[in-house]
Amino acid sequence: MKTLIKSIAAASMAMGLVAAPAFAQADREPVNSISQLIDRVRQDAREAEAENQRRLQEFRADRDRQAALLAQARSTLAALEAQADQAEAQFEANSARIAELDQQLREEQGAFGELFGAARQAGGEFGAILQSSLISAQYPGRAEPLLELAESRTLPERNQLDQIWRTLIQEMNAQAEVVTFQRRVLGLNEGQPVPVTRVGPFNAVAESGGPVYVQWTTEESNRAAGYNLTALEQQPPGRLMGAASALLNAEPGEIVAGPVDPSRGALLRIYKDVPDLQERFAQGGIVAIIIAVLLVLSAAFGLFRLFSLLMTTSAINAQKRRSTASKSNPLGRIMLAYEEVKDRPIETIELKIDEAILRETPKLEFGLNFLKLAAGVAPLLGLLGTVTGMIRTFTQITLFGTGDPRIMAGGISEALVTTVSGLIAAIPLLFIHSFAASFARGAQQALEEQAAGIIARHAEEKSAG
Amino acid sequence: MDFQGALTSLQEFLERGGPVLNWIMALTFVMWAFILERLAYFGFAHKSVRDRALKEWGARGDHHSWHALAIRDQLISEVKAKAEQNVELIKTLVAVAPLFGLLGTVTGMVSVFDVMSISGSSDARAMSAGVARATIPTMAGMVAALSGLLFSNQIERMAKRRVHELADDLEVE
Repeated sequence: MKTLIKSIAAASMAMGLVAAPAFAQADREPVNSISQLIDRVRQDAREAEAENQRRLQEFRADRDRQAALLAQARSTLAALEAQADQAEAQFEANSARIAELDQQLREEQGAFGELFGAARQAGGEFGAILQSSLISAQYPGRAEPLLELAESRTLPERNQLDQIWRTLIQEMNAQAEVVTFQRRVLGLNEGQPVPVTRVGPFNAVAESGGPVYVQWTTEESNRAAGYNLTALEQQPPGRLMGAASALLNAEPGEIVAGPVDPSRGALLRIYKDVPDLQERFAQGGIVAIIIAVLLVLSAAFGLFRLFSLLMTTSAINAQKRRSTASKSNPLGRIMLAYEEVKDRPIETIELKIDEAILRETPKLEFGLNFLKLAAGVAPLLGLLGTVTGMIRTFTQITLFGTGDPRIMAGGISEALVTTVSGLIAAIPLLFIHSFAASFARGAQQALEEQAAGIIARHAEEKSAG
Repeated sequence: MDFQGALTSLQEFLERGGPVLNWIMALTFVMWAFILERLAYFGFAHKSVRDRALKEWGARGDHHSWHALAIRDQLISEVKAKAEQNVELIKTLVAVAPLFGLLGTVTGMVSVFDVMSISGSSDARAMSAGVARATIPTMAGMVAALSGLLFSNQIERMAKRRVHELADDLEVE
């Protein structure tokens, strides 16, 4: 109601302003009476009232329209909000699905990733084994695809995966075989292929004139030159070579005792490091040289004495049977001494014979004491070398400690080699001395105990005949 | 008896003892050949040698002249030479056997130190082959020497006694 009054006031004021022309116009129809004026006022009031009513309705309609618009906007908002909620739900559902799929992908690829990792690892390890396996000499180039697989960053392909187990089975199978194949060997036959017999993965023997042990080369330069095998620098000693030639000459299917190196070549390679006789002798130092000189001189002298004693003994034995004395042998000379005095008294004869015997016996014993001395001195010299070697060893221990046995090896080698040399020198010298002494004693006995008898026998034969 | 098995174990033993053991085996074989030869001589042959000397002495009429005594000495000396044949050699072989054993010891030790210098380690298992090579020949040399020693002394005494007996039998009038 208040609003209504206000709006009336406003309307009347506005009417006052607006009414001026109207009044002016109305002035053209002059009001002649108060009743007319009242009518006119009433009429104006009715008109204003109607106008107000109309405006009020207009406002109301406007309000209603705005309210409708608001409602419409509200409903649109609600709809949009619902749509947003729906989209959000969809988004969440989708991202959950994505996460789930991601998880699944990870799970499934995880298994495969492990597989590929394992395949790479297996390829690398097995390739390395193949690269050092003797069997690769027969099947060259097996290792490279596997090593490439181990290095590659991309996923391996199926044939690469197949390669691993195919080569594995081939290797296992080949390890049980003894086969012969043609192959170039470094250092043999000027690079032309030679037959190589392989015993599993253990060792291989090439045939080039005779059996030659070969080894799998580890040097890149040789491999680049196309050689997978090299001949051993130092062939092993005779027994193994005999076994190798038995292996080469064996018929197919025949069972022979052959060499097997369980270390796959390392043991045979050690023969390179084992010193040969000359190197060993050099380890003995100056004492070993002295012993060797002693051995050579004494053995030469001893053999000479042995030979001359043998000749003397056989000459004496020949003289025993002959009655005519010869000047060329001791018994003959004794008999000649008897011949000179045979008509004298027995005492004189005995004296002369003893004299002659005494003249002969020192010749027989000549040099025997020297041989005995040499045989006795040789082990003593060996002992000397042992002690000097041990002194060297202990000097080195004092200087460097006992940490590395190799440091001590020099002195110990000297000690042992000189001992061995001493014994090796003493044993033949002992034998030579023993033989020479027994020949000398035999001859001496023949002269001392039998000369008189032989002379008597011949004398009796002469007097009887 | 399993001959093949025995042969194999002998081969293994020789293998473990190293090359010196072969020498000791050969030496023992020769030594025992000579010992058996001596025993066979005293068992079978000595009697006929002695009888021949006795017969020759008995056939002589003259048993006291200088000639006779000289011939007697000669007979004894000849029998003595036969009886003492190879005895010295046996004694030498007996003396050499331990030397061979010692040689084996030292060569075994050389191989032990070879292993040490090649491998650079003091692994007892790696050295055991060398130690076997060192000890087995020593033992074998000792056994050979001891087995020969008993007989060589016996044979020497036997020879002396037989010669002495003969000298007693060749009577001087």
